[in-house]
Amino acid sequence: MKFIKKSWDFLGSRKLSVFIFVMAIVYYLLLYAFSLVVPDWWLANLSKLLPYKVLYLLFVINLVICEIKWIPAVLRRCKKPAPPASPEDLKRFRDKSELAEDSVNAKAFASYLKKRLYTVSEGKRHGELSPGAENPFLLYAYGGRFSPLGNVMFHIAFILILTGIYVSLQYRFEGKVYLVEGQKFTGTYGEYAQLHAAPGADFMKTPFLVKDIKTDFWGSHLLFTDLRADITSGEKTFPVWLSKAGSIDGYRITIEELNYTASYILSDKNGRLADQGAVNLANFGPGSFDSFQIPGFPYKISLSIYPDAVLSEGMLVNRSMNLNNPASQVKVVKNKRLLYSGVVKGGQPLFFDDYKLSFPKISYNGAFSIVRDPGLRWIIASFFMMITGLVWRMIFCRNEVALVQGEGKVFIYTRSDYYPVTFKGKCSKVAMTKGRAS
Amino acid sequence: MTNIEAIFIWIALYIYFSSFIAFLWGFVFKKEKPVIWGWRLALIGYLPHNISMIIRWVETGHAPVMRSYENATLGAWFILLIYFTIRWRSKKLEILGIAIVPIILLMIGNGIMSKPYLEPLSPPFRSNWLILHVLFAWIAYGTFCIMAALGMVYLLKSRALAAGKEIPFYERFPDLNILDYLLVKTAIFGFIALSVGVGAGAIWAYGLWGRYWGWDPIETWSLITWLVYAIYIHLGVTLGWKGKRMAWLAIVSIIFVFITFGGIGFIQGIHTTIL
Repeated sequence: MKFIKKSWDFLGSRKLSVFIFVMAIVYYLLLYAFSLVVPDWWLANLSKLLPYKVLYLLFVINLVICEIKWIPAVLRRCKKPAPPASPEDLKRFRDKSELAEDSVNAKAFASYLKKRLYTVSEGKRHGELSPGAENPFLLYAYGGRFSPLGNVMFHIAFILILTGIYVSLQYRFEGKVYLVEGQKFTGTYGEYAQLHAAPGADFMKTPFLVKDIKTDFWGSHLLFTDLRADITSGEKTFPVWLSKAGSIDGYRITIEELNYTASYILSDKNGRLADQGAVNLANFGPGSFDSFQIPGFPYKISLSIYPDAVLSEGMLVNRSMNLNNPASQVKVVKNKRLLYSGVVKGGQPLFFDDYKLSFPKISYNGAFSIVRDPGLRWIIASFFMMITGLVWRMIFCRNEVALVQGEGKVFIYTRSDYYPVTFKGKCSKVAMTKGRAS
Repeated sequence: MTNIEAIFIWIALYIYFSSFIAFLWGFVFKKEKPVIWGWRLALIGYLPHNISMIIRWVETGHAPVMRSYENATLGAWFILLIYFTIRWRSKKLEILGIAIVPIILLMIGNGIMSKPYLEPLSPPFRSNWLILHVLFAWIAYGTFCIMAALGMVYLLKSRALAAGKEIPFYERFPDLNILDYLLVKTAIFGFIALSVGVGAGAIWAYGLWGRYWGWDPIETWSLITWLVYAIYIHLGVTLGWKGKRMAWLAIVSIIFVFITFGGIGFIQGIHTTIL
């Protein structure tokens, strides 16, 4: 029994909280050091190793026990504070000012405080607060006695965060697919270019079609001002953006990246079709090359796309980044020997060896992110809990004020959790102003 | 950056520099008047600073939240606003400018040396969560700067008191117990703001990247900073630490804030690409 109590006290101690924080800093510094040299997936795995899990577990235990131990104390603090009955009780007030006796009107000050939802105990001079004894208290008021609940809310928010993290680790689904305008996603495993599915995650099975991809740039700069794709699922068509998701069956879909897809037609010297198809390129930005090889042919074909190209004095000029008038700078290499290098526009053929190659259509392809994370709602809930705790603590701030008479003077005692100077100044001013007014 | 914006931000920089010189003068020679002038100059410099930010806002059509320069001017704006608010509450705290103004100078100077060209708001930045994230992050960082300055003032005053010197200059500083109180209160205020800032950032990140935490270097450092201040509060509020060691801790803790924000240009990660 003694051991259990000791363990309980240790696991719920503030010293352990500080120790956990220090250990967390050490762990995260390590994580940061690794982040400079290892890829993201390695880092994600590192953060799930046993020492990290032990730390999180310890954190949860510490947090929960602290809350359990703390809540009764907080509730006790939320009880009505006892009015000061003796000079000894005045020690709990932090600030004290002296006011001229004839300038103070306790009654008017009391009604001012009542209007501001303070609980006010008024006493006649030498009067009522302690019946039977000579009492110098004129007035006592308090507000915001439930203020400590804000702290509890703030700490409970962390329990919600941890719950959210746990739910994410168990049920999160994240996939990335590359789709060209007009292409349909059918929901099969092989379509995903990247996939991270937690043990309890469900795959997205609902098919959708990428109707078109629209983009807008800031002049000729490589800076998006808009990137959007229209998606059709069932009979519904809706847009998805880079930073604003569309949703299908609870899965959020965004378009993350933009690139070009080139359709090609390869024919031999007699005009017979040798091959045709489309290739997704990673060559976004004029001057950036990506290459591909047509299966069964020894040619390495490199392309750079100029989306809005014109020829000006023999020079290729790109007017904007919008895909208005695409031209391709093409290099064809066979066994390190350059067979062709030049610029072709849509459908215009180029010739090398005994072949004719053309790119009839350049279109956009997008990387679509498909994510479902049930942990998010916990994170959002925790966020609002945190904000509520903050607002609660700040707005319903715990304030106390007492007016005490003695030696021909009136003293104003104030105490405020957050705004001691302002509260003291305001109270003194109002107590005197009301007095003068009366 | 347009010419008119550049003129105003440079005017602000020169005035802030003069303010720093005044503070330094007052601090080194233990004179009150230069300190008062330092504070006045900082207040005067705030006007062209505001004008330059408004011009930029009008030119770009969005709040200054994109890339290093805009973040630097906005951050400096917030730090100064918190400094002015605190000074307005207590005249004795104008000496905090000795630590605040050089931070402002370094921030804006570093921002100007980056790429201050005008850009439209790109899609990743079009989110209300971003506004919350930036707003609260800067409130937090500004508060932590003030806290570090309070720590410095605490150490200076306690050193003077320990030496038994009666220097009128130090009498302008608030009492040690008030400084102690302010240290913990600013830590709590900044910590709560940082928590909200990090939370809003996480939700914004989910909207943008489909995940609310990714161990990006800046995310990791902001979490470390958060933990450092959590320790500070637990030591101060629940374990009752006070005095010099808390003042030292306030000064040391600001290093983590500087690494989190200032280190952006030197490390790689998603935030680096965005900022």
